[in-house]
Amino acid sequence: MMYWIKLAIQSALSRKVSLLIIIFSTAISVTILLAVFKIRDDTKTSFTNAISGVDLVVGNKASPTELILHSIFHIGRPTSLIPGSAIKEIQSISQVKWLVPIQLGDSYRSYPVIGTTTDFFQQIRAQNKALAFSSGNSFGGGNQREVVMGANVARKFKHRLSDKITLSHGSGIGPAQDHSDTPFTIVGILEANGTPIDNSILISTQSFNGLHDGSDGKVQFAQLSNSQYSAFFLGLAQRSAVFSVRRQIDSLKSPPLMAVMPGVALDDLWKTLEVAENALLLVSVGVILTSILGIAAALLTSLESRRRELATLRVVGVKPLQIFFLIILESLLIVTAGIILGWIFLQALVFTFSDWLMKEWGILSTVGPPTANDLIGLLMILIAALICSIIPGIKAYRLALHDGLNPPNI
Amino acid sequence: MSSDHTVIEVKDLQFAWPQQTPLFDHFNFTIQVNQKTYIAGPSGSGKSTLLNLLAGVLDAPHGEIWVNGHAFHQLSGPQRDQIRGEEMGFIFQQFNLIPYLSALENILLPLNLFPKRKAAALKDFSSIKEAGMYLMTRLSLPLSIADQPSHQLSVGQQQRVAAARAFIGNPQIVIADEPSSALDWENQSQFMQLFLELGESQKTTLLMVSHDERLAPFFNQRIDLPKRGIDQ
Repeated sequence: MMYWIKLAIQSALSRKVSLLIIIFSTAISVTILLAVFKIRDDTKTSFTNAISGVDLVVGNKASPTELILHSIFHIGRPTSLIPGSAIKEIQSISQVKWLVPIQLGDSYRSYPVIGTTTDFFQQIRAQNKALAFSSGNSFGGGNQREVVMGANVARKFKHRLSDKITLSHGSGIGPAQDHSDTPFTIVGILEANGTPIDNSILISTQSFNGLHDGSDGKVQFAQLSNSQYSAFFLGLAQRSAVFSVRRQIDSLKSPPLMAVMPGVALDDLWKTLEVAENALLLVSVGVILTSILGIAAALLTSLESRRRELATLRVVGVKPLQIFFLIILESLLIVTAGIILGWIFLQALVFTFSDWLMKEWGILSTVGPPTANDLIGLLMILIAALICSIIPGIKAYRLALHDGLNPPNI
Repeated sequence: MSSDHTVIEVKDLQFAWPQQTPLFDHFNFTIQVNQKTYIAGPSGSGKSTLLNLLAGVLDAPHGEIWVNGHAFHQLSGPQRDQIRGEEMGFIFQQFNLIPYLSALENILLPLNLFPKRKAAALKDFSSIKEAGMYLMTRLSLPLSIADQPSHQLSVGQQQRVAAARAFIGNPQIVIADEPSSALDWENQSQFMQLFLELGESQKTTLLMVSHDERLAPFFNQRIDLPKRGIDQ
């Protein structure tokens, strides 16, 4: 067997240019397929791990997916605000262990500002790890105009502790107004954790309210009452109580609220995205098939010029069936080379773009060994290549039988 | 088989390509062990058809072909391929070498494909490479070309590499097409000399099919291919 592999490799190597092109095109299509797998998997894990430890997210009755996307990932339309009075009602539910309020709507150079309490740093976990400060510590509980900055924001603008920054009203895209008369001081910078928190600025709810009701200055952009919230993150004493707590919150009359389990809402989201995901997968499978058929076609056309070579193999006693396998072996070796190169391409891509993916999309993507899914996909490619190479294999077999020891003089 | 010393026997062979006049009609010949046989066949006489029949690449639908004790007319194609690889060597005028293998790799091809040939070579040599190098020397091939890709060799060198490949691992029979017409007479007769010497020293039964009558005196048996009614 080893000798046959050696023969197949040497035969493939004897057509260097076309071999290179074929391997390259296979590699690119393999990269595309693996990239689709990787983006899908990494998006899901990044989103699922983004905020752990939160059992329920509470918001005004609306679309659960929108609530989750807005409150955790700061994506999409803002949801309507919950009056502060709801806090008491929720906290009166016996199983609720902690409640972290979330206020959104302001930004710092297009990065979202979150108004919350110091509990945020104790209760919220990112990628299943507690939040950690790379320098400084939490903001004070009152209206001290202190901010804690996510790792990416600090890195991007080269901020250090005690820097003064000015927050803007609105998302920062389009005309926004600065709260320029109310500068904030950076008191803490968080360690990078691969979640949207890296791209956030955290301030206390009092500071957040202060920005808006003008109690600390002349600015008065919104007629918000002292305490209105985008969402509440809840932690329960026992996770098993999540359904009963959800029911209790859903049945609150004033204000009418809903409680969403983040995992369930994300699953709904994946379901809606499945069509797009499948379309993407279908395209990459098409690309792969194209390049595999390309290999088969290249082998098929090369056979005509290899008739002498095949006849010579017959002269020394090689059976037609062995010639068939030699051609299939050659095609499998080419595809294997393409797969290996494609995998290397993917690692290079991930290595190059992981920072950008994290910053722009909050997707944590790292160089790593192929997943079970990847391996199944790659195996399917090999099987497809095997099937496609049967065609040139049969042609070689028939040429071997037909030509015998006398190939046409070409 | 008519005797223990018969290596090749063709009995009552009938063969015709579809819609053509028969090439062989009750054709018979016998070749004894160690004989050097010249098969004279002008072009169009079915020279290459006979080569394909003796190699076992073509089926003989009528008649008998015995090669080294094997009834080729009764065996399957792959069985004949196996026998050809293990017990026979072939030298063709052209198309003899695998272009992507070096000269030495071409010579060693039968040993790498057939363990029986390899075992035979390893009886006399400590490695197959040594066996290949020995044959290169015997055929006056410079050892410096051993690792050269075969397509870079001269026509004469290619012919000798093919001969070395035919003789390696001591096959019982070596069958040769006439030496390349691209060679001048001096080179051709030199090649014939080496070919016959090698056959003698390895106790190989030699067969050459040719239309070049100048080669006939090198052999001790002559067989004429039947004349056909209509030349194609």
